[in-house]
Formats: sequence, C-alpha cells, structure tokens
Amino acid sequence: MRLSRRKFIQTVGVLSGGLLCMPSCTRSFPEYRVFSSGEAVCLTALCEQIIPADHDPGATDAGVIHFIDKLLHERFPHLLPLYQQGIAALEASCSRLYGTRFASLPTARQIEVMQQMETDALPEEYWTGIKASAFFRQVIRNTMQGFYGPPRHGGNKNYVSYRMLKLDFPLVVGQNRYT
Amino acid sequence: MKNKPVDAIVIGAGAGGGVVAKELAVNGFSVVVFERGGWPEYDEHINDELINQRVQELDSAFGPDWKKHPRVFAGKDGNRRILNAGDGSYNHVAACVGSGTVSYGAMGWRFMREDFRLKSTYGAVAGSTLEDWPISYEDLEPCYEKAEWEIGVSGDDTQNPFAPPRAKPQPMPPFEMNREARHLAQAARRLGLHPFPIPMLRNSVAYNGRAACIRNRTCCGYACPVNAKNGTHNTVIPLAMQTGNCEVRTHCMVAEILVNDQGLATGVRYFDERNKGQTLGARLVVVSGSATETARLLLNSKSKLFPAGAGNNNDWVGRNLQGHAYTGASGLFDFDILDLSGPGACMALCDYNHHNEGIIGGGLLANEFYTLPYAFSQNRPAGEMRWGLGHKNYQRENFYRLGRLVGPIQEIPVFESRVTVDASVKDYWGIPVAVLSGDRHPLDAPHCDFLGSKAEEILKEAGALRTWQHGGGRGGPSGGQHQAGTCRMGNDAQTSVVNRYGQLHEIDNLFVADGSLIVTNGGFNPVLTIMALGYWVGDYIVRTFKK
Amino acid sequence: MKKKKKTVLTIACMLSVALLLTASYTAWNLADPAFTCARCHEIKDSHTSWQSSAHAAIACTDCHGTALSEGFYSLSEKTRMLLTHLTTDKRNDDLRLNEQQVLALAGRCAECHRAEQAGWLAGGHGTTYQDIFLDETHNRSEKPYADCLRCHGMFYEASISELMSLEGEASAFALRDTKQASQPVIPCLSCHQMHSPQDDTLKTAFYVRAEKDYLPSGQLSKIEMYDKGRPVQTADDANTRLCLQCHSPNAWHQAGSSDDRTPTGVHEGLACTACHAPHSNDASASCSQCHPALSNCGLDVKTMDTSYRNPESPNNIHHISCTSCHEQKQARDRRLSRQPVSLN
Repeated sequence: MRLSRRKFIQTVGVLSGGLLCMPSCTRSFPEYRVFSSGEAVCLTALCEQIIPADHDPGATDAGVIHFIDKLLHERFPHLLPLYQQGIAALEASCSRLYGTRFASLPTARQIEVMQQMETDALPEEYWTGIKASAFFRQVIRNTMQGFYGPPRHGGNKNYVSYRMLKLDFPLVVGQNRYT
Repeated sequence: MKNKPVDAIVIGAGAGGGVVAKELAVNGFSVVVFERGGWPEYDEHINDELINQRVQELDSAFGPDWKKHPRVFAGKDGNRRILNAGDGSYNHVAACVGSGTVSYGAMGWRFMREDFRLKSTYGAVAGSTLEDWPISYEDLEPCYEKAEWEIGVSGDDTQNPFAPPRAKPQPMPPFEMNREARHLAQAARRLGLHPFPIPMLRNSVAYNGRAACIRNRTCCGYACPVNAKNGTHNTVIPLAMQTGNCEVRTHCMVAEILVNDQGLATGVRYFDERNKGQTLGARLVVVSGSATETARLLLNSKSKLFPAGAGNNNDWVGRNLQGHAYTGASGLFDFDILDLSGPGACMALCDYNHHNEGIIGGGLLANEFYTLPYAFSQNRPAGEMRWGLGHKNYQRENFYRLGRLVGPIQEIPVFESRVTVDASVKDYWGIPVAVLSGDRHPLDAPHCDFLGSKAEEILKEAGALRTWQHGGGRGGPSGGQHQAGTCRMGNDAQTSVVNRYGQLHEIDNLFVADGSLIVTNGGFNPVLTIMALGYWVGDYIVRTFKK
Repeated sequence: MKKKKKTVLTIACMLSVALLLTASYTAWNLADPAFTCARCHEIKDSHTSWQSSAHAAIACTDCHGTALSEGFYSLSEKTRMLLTHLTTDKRNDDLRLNEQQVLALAGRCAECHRAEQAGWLAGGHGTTYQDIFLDETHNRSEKPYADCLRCHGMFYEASISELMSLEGEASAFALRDTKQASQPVIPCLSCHQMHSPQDDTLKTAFYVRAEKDYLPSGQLSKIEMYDKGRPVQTADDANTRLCLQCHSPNAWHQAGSSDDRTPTGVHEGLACTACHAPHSNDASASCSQCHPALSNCGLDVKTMDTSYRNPESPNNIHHISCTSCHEQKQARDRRLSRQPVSLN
C-alpha cells in the first residue's frame, strides 16, 4: 500500500510523540474508566445485591461492574452523571442513617436501603435533582444487561448466567449436514 | 453517468419495495432502489441479545442510526419529546435492505376474507374511520400465491379450517411443532379449538438454493445464520439485480419527491452515501418506506399543486396510523414446557379472528418466540421481585416453564392517530422529521382483554399453575413493526390517499407500495399481505406503464 | 554558507530524530512488557495470562509483531493502538491477532510442535478455504452462509459476502481473493489458546467467533444428547465438548443428526478421543485396541463390514449395534443351538 507523505509524517509524529510519552505510561492505570475506586466499591455492592451470589455466581462474578464501566464510557456517557449523583446520594444517605458506607452495611441492611431507594423513601435532602427510584431502576437494568447479555460487551464473564440457566453456550445448533 | 434518469425509482427496500423493484426489473423497467440503511450482515451482531430487532438496549441491530434519524412523539398532554430509534415510542422499523424481513419471526399469514370487508361485516364504528378495502381477498389471492412461492413459505393451510380459499398450496411442508406448541395444541383441541402449524417465511426444507432452517433459538429479532429465513433481501431483490435492470443504492436518504406544475412526479431529491445532495429523474416513483416514513416523505414533498405535501390536498396522508397491540397471556407450568427448538412460535389458531361475540374482528393466537435471559429478566408477573434472590430464583425456576399464547389484535383505525412532520426538528440531513400523535380507539383495550382471556383459558386448560393476561391496547398511537394505514387505499379520492392500485389519486406516476396502503390491519402479522400488495401494485405499473 | 549550515543542521536533526526513534523503538520492543505494553489497561489481562502460560518464554512481539514487522499493516495497527490509548476512545479491550497473523503463527507452532502439525495437515482439520467454500455439490444445495465461518475460517475478519461472490449458479461462486484459497480454515488457534495456563492439562479451548474470545474446553457446556427421545450417555470429557461445538446436533440434540457424531449403540459413551487421534483425527489404530480383547466373538473387527472399513457401509461405526455385524454369528449360534451341545 502506498503511504502518502502526509500520512507518513503524521504517523511518525504520533509514534515519536507516543514514545516520548512513555514515562507517563509507567504509572499504572486505574482499574475503571469512569468510576473512582470509591464509586466502584459502592456500585459493586449494589449490583451484587441486585443479583447476589449463592450456589450460582452473582453480579460481581459476572463482571457486571466492568460491563457498566465500559458501557458508560463507550456507549452511554450521558448516563454517567446519573450514576455519579446516585452513588453519591446513596453513600450520603447511608452515612447519615448508619454512619457508614453502603458497601460496609450488613446484607439485611443493604436490602432494606435498596427497598427504600426503590420507593424513594431515603432522606430527600441527598436526592436533589435525581430520583432514587429512577437511579435504582437504571442500575437494575444495566446489571441485568451485564449479567444476562452476551460476554462480548464485557459482562456475563465465562457465560455464568447461561450456565446458571442451563443454556448451551456458545449456542450449539448443528448446521444442515455437510454431505 | 451516475444519475441518468431511470424508468422507476423505488424508495425503501423492505417487504413492499423489494417486491415492486423485482416486478418492474424483470419486466424490463430500469429501476433504482434507494435504501437509507445498508446491506444487512449477520456478522455484525450475530446473536447479540442486547442488540437485535426485539431488544435494542445498546443499539439498533439493523438501523436506523440513533443519532441521525430522530422522531418526535407528541403526547396527549401537549408534551413533545424528541426520540431516538432506541425508544419504544419511536415505533421503529429496521432500516436496511430487506428491512424487517431480515430479522422478523417470519409468520407468513394471508388475511381472511373478512379482513378486507370489516365495515360490511361489522358495520360502522363510532369514532373510527373503519372501512372496507377497495380490493377483495379474491383480488389479492394470486399475489399471495406469488409471494408464497417466490419468497418461500412453509405451511399447510388444510389444517386450518378458517383459512381462506387458495388455488395452490404453500410450497414447503409445515414445521414440526416444539414441546410448548404440542402441549398447547392438545389443550386447545380439548377446548374444541383448531390449532395448526404456523405458516412461516422460512425454509422447512432447502428451497431456492438456500438451506433449510436449523431451528435456531435466536431467530426472531436476528438475521439468520444459515440464510434459511426468507426476506426480500435474499429473494426478490437479488432477482431484480440479476436482471441487470435494477440498482440498489444503499445509505441514500430521499428527502423529497419532485412534483412538477402539471402534477406529475419527475424524480427525487436525495442525499447519497456521502451525504451529498443529488437528484434523479424517473418516469415513475414508488414509495415503500413503511407507514411512518412513507407518510413523512409525501408530506415533505411540497409543490405548487400540492402545498401540503404530495397527494395531501384532502389532508389524509399520515392519517389512520395503526399497528397491532400484541396481546395474550402467560402461564407458569410445573414442568419444562420449553425445549428451545427455535424459533419458538410454531402453533397458532384462528378461532378468534372473526365473528366473536361483541368484538369487531379479533386476532390469531400463537405460542410465542423465545425470549432470552435478559428479556426474560424484564418480564415478571405482578408481585414478583425484580432484583435480589427472589429475582434469581424466578429466573432459574421458570426459564423453561413459561408458556405463552399471544397474537395481534385487529385495531380500530382512528383518524387522529397520525404521522405529521415538524419543520422545527430536522434529521441529520436537515429533513423535517416525523411526528407521531393521537390515541388508540377505546375499543382496542376491551378487544385485547378478550383475546387475552381466551389465551388464558387455553393456558389453564394446558395445566398452567399461574396465569396472567398481557392487556394492552391502551395509549397511543400504535405503530411498531406492524405499522400500517397512513396512505389508505380507496375508491373515493376524498377519503383516501391512493386508488385500488396504490396510485396517488392526483399524481398518476406516483405510487405507494407498503403497509401504508392497508385499510384495516387484520388480526394477523401483515408482512405477507404487504408483499402481496407489492405484487399487486407492481403488476398494475407493468401493465399501464409498459414502454 | 548559511545554506550549507542549514543543511548540515537539518541532516543532524533528522539523524538524531532517527537515532532517537530507532533507539526507543528497539528499547521498547526488547523491554519487559511489564514496563511497556502491559502498563495499559487494555493489555493487562492478556499479559497476566501470558505470564502463567506454557508460552511465557515467547516474547509478545513474536506473535503480535512490532510496529514495523508487517509493513504498513502493522504500522497502522500499532498507531491505532497508540491513538486508542492516548485518546479517550478506548475501544480495544483485547488485542487480537488478525487472520494473517493467526495463519503465520501456525508456521511458528510447527517449530516446536512438528508431529502435531504433520497430523493436522494429514487430517480433515487441515482443510482449506478452497475445499470448504468451493465445493460445488454442497453449494448447489446450500448457498454458503454467514455461520459457515463459525467453524470454518473463524478468524476471517469480514463477512461471507466479502469472502465470496455468490451471484448466479453454484458453479460461478468464487473466493474474491484467490490467495485465500489455499489457506487453512481451521488453524492451530481454533482449538488452542496461546495464553492458556501452563498447568492446564487440557490444552484446548474453543475460539468463539461471535465473542472474539476463547472459552477453555473445560468450561464449555455439556450438551445433553438424545436418540429419538431417549437420553444418550455421552462422554463428558472436555475435548468431546469441544468437538461438539462444531460437530453439533440439530435443535433436538438427536445423536447423529446434522454434523453430530455422538456414538450410540455399542460405542455409546465413548469420548471422541477414545478412537480419534488429536490433530489428525485418525482412528485407524483404534479398533484393535479394544477388539478382539474385549469381544469374544472371534471375528476380526478390521475385516467386518463397517463404515470404518468402508465409508459406504450401512454399519456406521458411530451407531453400530451388535447385530449390525453379528448376524452371521447369530445365525451360526441358532444353527448350533438346534443340535445337542456337549458340555465339555
């Protein structure tokens, strides 16, 4: 393929620029693209209660948090403020009510908080400009997508939900016999 | 010369447009088909449960592009919302060569005789533009046959006592029923009903050089991995292209039909695949963009004689928008009623399509296409947990135990349920977008409840432990995949848009050939009827515009 | 003078830039990936799995190439990666080999795995695009479709319509790129994941084209099989699960339907690899391993009328029952039973 001079110069520029940037690459990169580690801890706990692990894997095992992280980064950045505000409001509510973060609450209490979130019963002052139930519905929806959707989007790691539902995976259907 | 005038321009390569293009091309007309989407590729989304025609959580699988094709939804309360194609209220239809026929469930129904004569059969209905079609079942019968043989249908109408008469059987034998279908069919028979295998636009045996169906569970909503599902994209459109007379121009957006001062269409103005404005001249133009987009295009085609849009001097273009409230019932069984041999739906009954006590029309009932794990998680009877262990237990216990019987109910057409255009909201190319507004007829809800209750009866008879009806028929407007009615056929130019041949009353060389023509949408999935109308309109054009 | 000075300066500048580039490029390629590629979010997982794999001694660049190893293709690929990394447009989670690299790798595998490659070439899985896609008899009944690529040409990067022109009669179907014809459709990486862990005794994984990722054979789902409604006993070993991914039954999971070869009859429950050698799929030595030691009829299995001996035989080795071959012996037994038999 012919390389135009312009393209060549561009490429060389980018490459050398990249090489000069090497030192900046030596710091390690954060695990999440859009969430802070604090937000991720809270959201992971929330997703895990939406689909908890028992004898079958739960949301954490399926990589739901990574699915949502990727989703908000690549496809639906407009949802990020809802997530950020929702997580902050949830943390603030838990802090006020129980003096600790959502993720540190015992399971029964987490479920109780989630039921309150579902019915907009958490302290209103932390939920200004955002409805707790709307945030919760969005998290449920994305959690289900990450748990039950195909692995190609970053969730359903190793097809855990298909395994749970005894769906053959990858889909096994013979073609018409090759004769 | 790229834009040398042609004999015919067909706008939209779906069920109607694909057929017309083929009819014209094989009869020697030079044809250009404009399609705003591209050629569908199975590989693009394969069997992605989050991106397909039924579940569009992350994107449209077959177009339209969410960013480029907004629509406006005008609610009763005066609220106007700008929608992208991922929104349910958008009422989107796939935008690609073949359109919905690439990814449909592929039921290949003929309408019944009564479906063409609703007003004569049931009388006028207050608040409705209910009317008889200007053509009868007998008129369309040869076209149905052509669609069945050229595109390919598997079925056996002799098992359906309500099937209208036919000259020739369907070309392929019917599909074997799956476990759910067999079980529900037995229950239906015990109730004195008449279940039979659904006619399908899929190959039950190898047909026309393409493979037989492999009973894939990801069928409805997806392109076929083995090309055994028959749409216009793999049947009539390739045939049209093989004649050398037909060119399909993909990624082209038609903005306007050009109508001259003598009231004749001279061609179209469109944006090509590089978004460059172009015009193309033609002897005649056929619009097949689906009920919403066809109406939008006509309304956007303003000219001296038609200041309110082509053929719209009586303000009927875009009116009577109708679809189907797909209703029915679900039942949970105490054994695995599903065996996952695709596509799910394979048994139907037509006992409730007509002559029901207190109901105008009715609808078929069929077992449902499979839902996959995500869609299943979004579907819960009242009182069930939507998250937590309760959610997980329900998924595990019931994934194979949910039997369903559903069907499209005949909707009562409403004049105010309509497509208009909004000059203040433009699409990517600056073309005013479609606005959907209006309500369903108040009879739709009780009609849904009727069909739902019948479905529930059968599920109970089949031994379902817990059943619930789906309801529906409320709110509006109704459109969806089955959208129809916006360019009504009729003999009276005052109360319709086109004549019995799909020809605009006032513009002799402008035709419509898609679901827009449909006067009343039947209690059936309408695609085979749209294909038949394509043959009907195509045949008329060939006869009257012969060179 | 001034002009000359400028020229010298320019040359010196260019030389030093070139030197800097070459030096950094070399340093980059030789450095421990922990300090280069694997610093990036997108590559971390692949790096971790590679470190614990049997191929940890093979450098990344040996398979993935360098920016300059494959001319313009690799240069643009690596540039894209860099851009992806530097901008916020992080779309590449996993870095995949392209088909060309996958095929090139097959040659490299043979450097160590010579016998395996010879077997693969000799057996059915060494088949090529030409053999699979230009089989006119097959194409006459079924036009090649998208899902052919699920098992044949699973690394092909475009769609079936880009691979082939499918207009007109089957005899006119052709590969658009004739160079593709002799390429293998089931290369090593179809069933082997380079990054799989060293302690994995299975050594196989299925490349799922739909997900562009591997699933280790041990994690594939068990497929329940039936013979006209009766559950069939199947060997539930990981490799049999792997084979079933492509040698799959119809939607009802009927043993022997579609492309499936699940044994019923006397061989029911046997794993594929009980008879078939991996890579070559050869089964020629397998019958005598069990027969006649495990059978007492005295008949020589190698001469019996089965599809093993003759592919045209009605007695399919996958579904053979005792009576398929033993009619002769049964007849003899019946004859004998009519006569008094002495016990000694």
